Amino acid sequence: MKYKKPMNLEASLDGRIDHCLWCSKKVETRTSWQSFISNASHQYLCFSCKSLLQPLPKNCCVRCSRPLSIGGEHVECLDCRRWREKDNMGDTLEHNLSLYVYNESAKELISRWKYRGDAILALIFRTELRRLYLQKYWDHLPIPIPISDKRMLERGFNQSELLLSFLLEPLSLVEKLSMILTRMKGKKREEIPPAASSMLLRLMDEKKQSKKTRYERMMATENPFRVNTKCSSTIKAKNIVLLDDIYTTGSTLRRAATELKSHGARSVRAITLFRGS
Amino acid sequence: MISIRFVHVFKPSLNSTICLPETCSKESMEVIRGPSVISSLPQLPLPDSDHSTGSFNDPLYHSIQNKLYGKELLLNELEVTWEDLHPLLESGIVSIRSGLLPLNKTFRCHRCYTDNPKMFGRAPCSSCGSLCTYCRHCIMMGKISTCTPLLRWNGPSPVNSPHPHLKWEGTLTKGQLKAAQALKDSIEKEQELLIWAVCGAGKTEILFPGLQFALSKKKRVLVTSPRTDVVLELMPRMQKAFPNIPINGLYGGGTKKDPPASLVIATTHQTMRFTDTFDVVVIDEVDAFPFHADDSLLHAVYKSKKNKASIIYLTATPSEDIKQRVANEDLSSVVIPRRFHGHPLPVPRFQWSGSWQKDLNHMRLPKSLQKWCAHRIENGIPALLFVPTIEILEKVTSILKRKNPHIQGVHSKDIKRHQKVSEFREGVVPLLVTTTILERGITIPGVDVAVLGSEDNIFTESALVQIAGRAGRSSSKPHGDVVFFHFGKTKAMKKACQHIVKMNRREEGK
Ligand SMILES: [Zn+2]
Ligand SMILES: [Zn+2]
Ligand SMILES: [Zn+2]
Ligand SMILES: [Zn+2]
Repeated sequence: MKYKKPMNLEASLDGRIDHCLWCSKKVETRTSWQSFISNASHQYLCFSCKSLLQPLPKNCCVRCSRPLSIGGEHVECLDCRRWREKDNMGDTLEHNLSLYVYNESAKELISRWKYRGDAILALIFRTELRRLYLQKYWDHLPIPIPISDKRMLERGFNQSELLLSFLLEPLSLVEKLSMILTRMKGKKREEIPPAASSMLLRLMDEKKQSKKTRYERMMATENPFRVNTKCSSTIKAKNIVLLDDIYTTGSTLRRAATELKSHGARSVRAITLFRGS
Repeated sequence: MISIRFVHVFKPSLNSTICLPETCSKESMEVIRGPSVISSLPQLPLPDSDHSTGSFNDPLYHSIQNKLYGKELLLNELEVTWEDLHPLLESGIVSIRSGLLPLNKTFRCHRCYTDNPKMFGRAPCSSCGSLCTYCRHCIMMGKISTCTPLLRWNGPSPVNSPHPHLKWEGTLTKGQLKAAQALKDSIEKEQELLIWAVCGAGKTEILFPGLQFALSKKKRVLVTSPRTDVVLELMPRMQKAFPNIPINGLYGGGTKKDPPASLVIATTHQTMRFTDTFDVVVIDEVDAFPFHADDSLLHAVYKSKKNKASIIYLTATPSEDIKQRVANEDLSSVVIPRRFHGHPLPVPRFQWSGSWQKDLNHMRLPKSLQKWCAHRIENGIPALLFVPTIEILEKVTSILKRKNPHIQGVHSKDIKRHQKVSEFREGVVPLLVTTTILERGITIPGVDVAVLGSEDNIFTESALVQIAGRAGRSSSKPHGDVVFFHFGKTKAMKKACQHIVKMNRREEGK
């Protein structure tokens, strides 16, 4: 099956993908009529690898997508309440939506993607990420969580920036149709400026998360993020949606949110691929 | 950004062109090409090895020599800077080439040798500031992109090869002797050889005389197997046989960093880092996964040997390709049809079991299989039951566990795999249900073997021969029952049976 390649990423040099991007096993190709009009219908994973990605359970914190043991509608988890009551400002991050549970397989996948540098694995998340964005955040300005220059040199790319590149792609026919059918119709699309990936800068890296205690992670004071001075007018009064790979305690996202809000952002939400616990 | 670019400069002192990082080039140098991204510079001929120019006596030289000799590595694997390397590059002792070689519409990775366009990805790269192609096939060993150089050692060898003392006091059977002689001949003549030895022929012992000969001639030897289990099992046996020879054992997860030795035992994956260094390469179980599916891995093994070297293929179930080469007299071969204890191989029985899948859905085993299992458990005979898939494995195990809770099932994704197998060895687990993961390598004295659903595609001729080869391994219990429970005989089942019968009929030494 011929696939329409997304911007900047190619998963195969001959333009054809009939193997699983994770385990390389050959995947049965189904020629579907959808593939002609949609750039989102491609299967990047084989059936058994797909089943390793575990969607979030029904019972989650309404604000941060944290899986909860007790059910019930509109439950806010303890951490989110603490964030809200931490200082008088309230919680700078309104909301986080994640796609999957951060389980052992997710750890393996992230390590290959981010640390080994297998950049094209980002494609696995393309369809779901676009769907979420088009359903809920079409009127938001997406900004990827940046990494420091030092990290950038080590890794060669910023994983969140690759996620942003999926949102910059034009709408496919199927997506246009489904947009007409959903409630996002009528809401004004927020234009994504090409500079979206450099609106927020990261001055330094944090200590490895795992080397800190939970308390340290929540309380660390110095904010590593700065709004790019050239972009501060673009941020003013905007609803912003941050993009990142993992939500663990939410402190990274909240620091980015604090910085954005102090430059006049109206609200800050987040989409993350994985929700850790 | 540190976009490292490279230049080709002519070195009058070496009378040849060398590749240097742009940052190391001086104005006095005659730049022929570049600066540019490494993969867009044409390939320079590989320098001759062992030309020792200049004398370096600092610890850095020796550390680089020990890490890099016989290999091609990334700069960060060497843990040095370009500045550290500069004198070695200028003298030609270390040379640079591109990690990826551009081909028509694809690349070839100089480490894993893949040139399959599906194994390459392209993504933005901050170190060269553009879209950059990288090899996904061997990315777990460190990323190789179009902007990544590989480093190679051309200086003298650090390998210390003492005269080998063979400390093995067994005697070889007639068949083993013949194979050992053929092996020695091939090593001497730097030729290829197929050793076709039935399961249980004692193939490690066959290697001893040949390896002793090779090591005494200061040859560097690689013994490689696709499977980590085999490497782990071979290492202590080889070390015991050659107590005064240092051995490098390399496998995924192994972290020991010894100086290069004359005898290397490595998983096939680990051989990818080697280049142009071995005089003798023994490939154990050449037909086993992942070789079979993955041609590039075989090329990577070829890359690790010197131009003139001997390659020994060691297997109980040669692939059609290899058999064809023997038939065309393109490859010499020697067959050992007898086990070391002299008894014939157990011949599989076929047992029709109807639609056994339906039985499983009703949470029961086919009657014949149930009887077979009950008999082994009652009489304390260890039993291995092979099944086609993990899903079936789970069903069968849960059915059997209701009769006997000590029964266990193992598969490739089972983290308790090694523990369960050793419990089976100790007799704690009376019957072990398994996928094809245990088709090779496992040796349990007096074990009986059954296959449920032997008509499944996964049970190829060679898989079935290997499975049958689990039975009757020890000289105290040289017989064993092998049954294929099936829902329709397949070609593979019949061929496996013929294969075994033919081997049993073959006279030793013919
Ligand atoms: Zn897969
Ligand atoms: Zn929450
Ligand atoms: Zn490679
Ligand atoms: Zn690059």
